[in-house]
Amino acid sequence: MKKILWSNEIDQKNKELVGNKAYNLSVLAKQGIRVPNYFVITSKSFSKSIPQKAIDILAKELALTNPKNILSKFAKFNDDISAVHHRILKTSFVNCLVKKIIDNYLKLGVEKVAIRSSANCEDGHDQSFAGQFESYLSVNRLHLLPTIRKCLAETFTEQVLIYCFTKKIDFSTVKMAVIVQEMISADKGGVIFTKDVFRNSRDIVVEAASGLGEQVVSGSTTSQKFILPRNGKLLFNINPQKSVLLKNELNKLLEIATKIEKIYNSPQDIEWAISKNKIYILQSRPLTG
Amino acid sequence: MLYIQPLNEYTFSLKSKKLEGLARLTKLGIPTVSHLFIVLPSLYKEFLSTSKLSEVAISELQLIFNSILKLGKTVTLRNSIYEKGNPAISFCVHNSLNLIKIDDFLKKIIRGYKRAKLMSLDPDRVEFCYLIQAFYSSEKCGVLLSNVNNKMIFIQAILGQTSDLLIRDDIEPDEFMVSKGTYRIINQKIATKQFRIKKLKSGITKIRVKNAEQNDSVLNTQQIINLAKYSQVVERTFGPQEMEWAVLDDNQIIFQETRDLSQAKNIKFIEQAEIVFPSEIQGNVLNLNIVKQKMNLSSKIIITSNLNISFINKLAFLYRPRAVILTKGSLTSHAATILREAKLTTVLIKNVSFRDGELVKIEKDGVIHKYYEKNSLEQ
Repeated sequence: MKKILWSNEIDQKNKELVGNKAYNLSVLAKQGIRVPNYFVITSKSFSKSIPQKAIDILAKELALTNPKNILSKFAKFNDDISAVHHRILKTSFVNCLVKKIIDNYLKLGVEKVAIRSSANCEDGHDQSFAGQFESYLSVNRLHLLPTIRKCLAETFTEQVLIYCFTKKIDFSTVKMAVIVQEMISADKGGVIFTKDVFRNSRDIVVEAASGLGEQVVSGSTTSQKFILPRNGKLLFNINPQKSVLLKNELNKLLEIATKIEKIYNSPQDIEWAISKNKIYILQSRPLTG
Repeated sequence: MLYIQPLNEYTFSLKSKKLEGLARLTKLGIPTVSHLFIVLPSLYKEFLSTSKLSEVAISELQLIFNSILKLGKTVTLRNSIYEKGNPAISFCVHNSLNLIKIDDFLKKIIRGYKRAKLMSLDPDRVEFCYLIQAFYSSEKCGVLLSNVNNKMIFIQAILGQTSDLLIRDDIEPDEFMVSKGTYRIINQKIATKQFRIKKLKSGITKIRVKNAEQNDSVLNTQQIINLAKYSQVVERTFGPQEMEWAVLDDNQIIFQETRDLSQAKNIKFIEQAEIVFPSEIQGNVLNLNIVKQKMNLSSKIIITSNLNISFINKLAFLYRPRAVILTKGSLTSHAATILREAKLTTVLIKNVSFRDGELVKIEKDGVIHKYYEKNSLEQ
């Protein structure tokens, strides 16, 4: 069983090992959508780092907890999950895995990478896990392994516990793969919803900011919002001095977004970046809610 | 004169709140309607017994009418009908604008008296006055509340000539909250104004506003400050006031009416938020950025700038307040996505502040109403 899989090696058979995010990106790449190059460290690779017994016990206790009592028991669950988190941070990867990670990082041929979670449960139709796990940007060789370990450890946090408990997801079945991806130096970035869920219309919503799109999803920057009608004809004029996006960029984003929506046959929540006039798709998942 | 008294000689002898208000303004030197004359209730009483205007009455009315025309203005005839416990009575006789012929003027007066007679308005119970004034042309008008929560002054403004139009559904006013102490504008909402209202001789008409001007503020900063300052002059003598005002074509501010604020209804100040997950919810606000274990938030509307997912998860899935108002981030942020997924009523609005305990209503379209209750003036 391969510990590392590249984008073009991912298919339905190994989907469970690479997680939904990595799988979805590979589908897009195969359809000709520009996705930054990446490889995935499969969830099975980390089996020696994960204290599965402790997680199973915690998951069982959680499953037996009455929702009315969750608040009173929460401090204890939080302590338990923190212990798991801490153990993962302290556990080194096995040597053969370390070698494979480094070799493939060098094969990627870039100095800086993005380290992103890819869980088997995230990016689902009813459970986005939006923001529940972590991504780390602009990671260099020196910080590569500690950051991958950190990304893995972030599977086991209070927020994930709450999310799983509420969504009735068996916590012990959550398996995390980690994506190591070429870091795009974004001039502009943001998010697209291929359905306006706020007004329940078929218009496409684009939010954009200068720099990384991560700022938009984390809410750490002020973004600009564009509502794009489906017929593709932009009804408004853009002031290039004030607008983050130019008209041709909006048209192109609209084109890519509708293509992605067709591929998955459902409204999508898409993270994108523009670097040197090229549009990259960083993530796509079903639009929830 | 027997039947007519100029406003500046009025002695507060009549019960009419409208007259009392105008007299207050005049007494304090607040700019108000110019050339205003009161036709006293005694003329109506006389009319009831004779069914006509006496020669003396006609002579006095002609004198006043001509004095206004000589100023190059036209005449407006307004009624001031007062009956204790019957506020609807003031609407039973119509006002007349832009009168230029004495015959029309006299006919209007007689018609009003005849209508009042038909309605059996007893002069011993009902005080029927006419107000004769110079017609003024204004582009902007509105209302003002001189005291909100003992800290602020509230101003509504429209493009038009009568603040009665604020009760029409098709006109959305600009709104301003001004600090009583510093006269600083604390909050404002500028409406999109598709048309302005103009009073013509033939009636009221709507005139389309140019697209480029539709989102301009009705008032400039100095006008807002001046309105606020005038209101405090009146309040210092007479207490909290609800005032109607206009800005004339020559940019002069005048006040047309003032009355005690205790007669006013609860005030709403409106914000337009962006919808994350819609629903109609009402509740008391709590500013919150950290959750402590034993908090009960189920009846609260939480206002927060904290988009940390751990905090948002707790709100969305464990503590479940009535609603969340995000003051940071975007509609597509992780925080907004989680709250929407949790089907928790959420809106996004920036650059606003709410105090703990304030009563707020969130509409399905994202409009937020803040309620200032009139009894809060006593705090």
